Amino acid sequence: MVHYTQYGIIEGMRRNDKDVLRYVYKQYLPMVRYFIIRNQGTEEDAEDIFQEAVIAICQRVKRKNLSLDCAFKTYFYSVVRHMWLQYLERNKIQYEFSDMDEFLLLEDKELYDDFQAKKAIFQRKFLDLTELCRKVLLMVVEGTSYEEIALTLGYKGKQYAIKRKYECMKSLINRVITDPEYKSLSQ
Amino acid sequence: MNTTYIRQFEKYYNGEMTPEEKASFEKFLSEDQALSTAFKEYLSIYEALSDRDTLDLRTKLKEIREENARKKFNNDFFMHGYNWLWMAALLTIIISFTVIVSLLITKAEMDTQVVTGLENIETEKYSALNRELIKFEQRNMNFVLTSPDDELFISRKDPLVFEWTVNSTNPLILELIDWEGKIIFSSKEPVTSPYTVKKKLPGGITVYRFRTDKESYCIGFLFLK
Repeated sequence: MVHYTQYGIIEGMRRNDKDVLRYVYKQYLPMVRYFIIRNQGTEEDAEDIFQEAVIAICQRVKRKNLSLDCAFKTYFYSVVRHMWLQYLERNKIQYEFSDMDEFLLLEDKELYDDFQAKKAIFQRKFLDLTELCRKVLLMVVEGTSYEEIALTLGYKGKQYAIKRKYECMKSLINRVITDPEYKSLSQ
Repeated sequence: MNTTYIRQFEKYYNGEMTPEEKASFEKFLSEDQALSTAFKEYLSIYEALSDRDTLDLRTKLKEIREENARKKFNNDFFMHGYNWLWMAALLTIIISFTVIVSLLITKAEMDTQVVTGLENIETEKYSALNRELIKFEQRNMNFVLTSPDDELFISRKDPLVFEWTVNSTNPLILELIDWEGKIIFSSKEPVTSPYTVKKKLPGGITVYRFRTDKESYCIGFLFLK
């Protein structure tokens, strides 16, 4: 397996490079899993938080240059810790942190605020939809006309495209509102 | 957010409302806090979906997660000794079951063939023999066979000698018939006692018959071994 330097990881994250993401997954997921499970989480929570941490770091890297005074691992751990802390507080779960590594106290509130958390849920649920639904919704978001959507996807006409889009949107909203994290965010 | 207003939101978003409907909807939005919040949430879904870069990143991460889940499942399965045992046991059961079923089917087929064969052979052979034997009407002419005595089994190594006495001067022909009703030996010429069959005969049940042109004088059977 190729070994990436700190610079290589950051640059790879800037480009959404799948090999780098795979590397980060392999290198840091065990640490995240260990930390989350030790602090009242589950394996599933660990995977979710890991994913959100990667996305938050990628967005941060793309927004501004990320210059680290510490090892990337420490930064990654700090982001995960920060997010998990927010998650526990949001869900009113009593905690007493058991840290396993040194960490930075992050001030970046945007890292995973309620808005980001909801956006993450919308996007995650969107990815769970069927391929056809994803296509329809993305075309609508891109501003494609319903006539063109019908033509591209082989629908009978504009009205059918509107109907399909409505069904897909309804399915997405149903998935969102039944998500436990969304419920706790909406309270 | 709930699904109550989705149709209204969709109509508004798609530009399908008449100007009156649109104005009315916007008025509701400004007055109803819950509706306004739900609509904002609805719009934030579109906003989330318009972030293609993050969606692309999420898609890649989801794929990596699935790849790893598959790898983990395979590793867990093959690394776990018990799974191998279960697989071996399952395979053994499947193979044993297949073998047993095959054997049972084969045996059943063979039994059917044997029964059918026997029925066909026995019926046909018996009918043929019966037809051959009743060709000549049997007459009681005080025919007494003195050799072979009452012995049923005759060795094929010894000469087959027939001796008899009969209260008739009619010329008699000796015939030997196998189980299928086929004449395997015929003296063709009239015979006189004692008469030795010189032909080498096949083993098994053999019927002998002394007859004239029209009637049987004696019918019996012996087993050549």
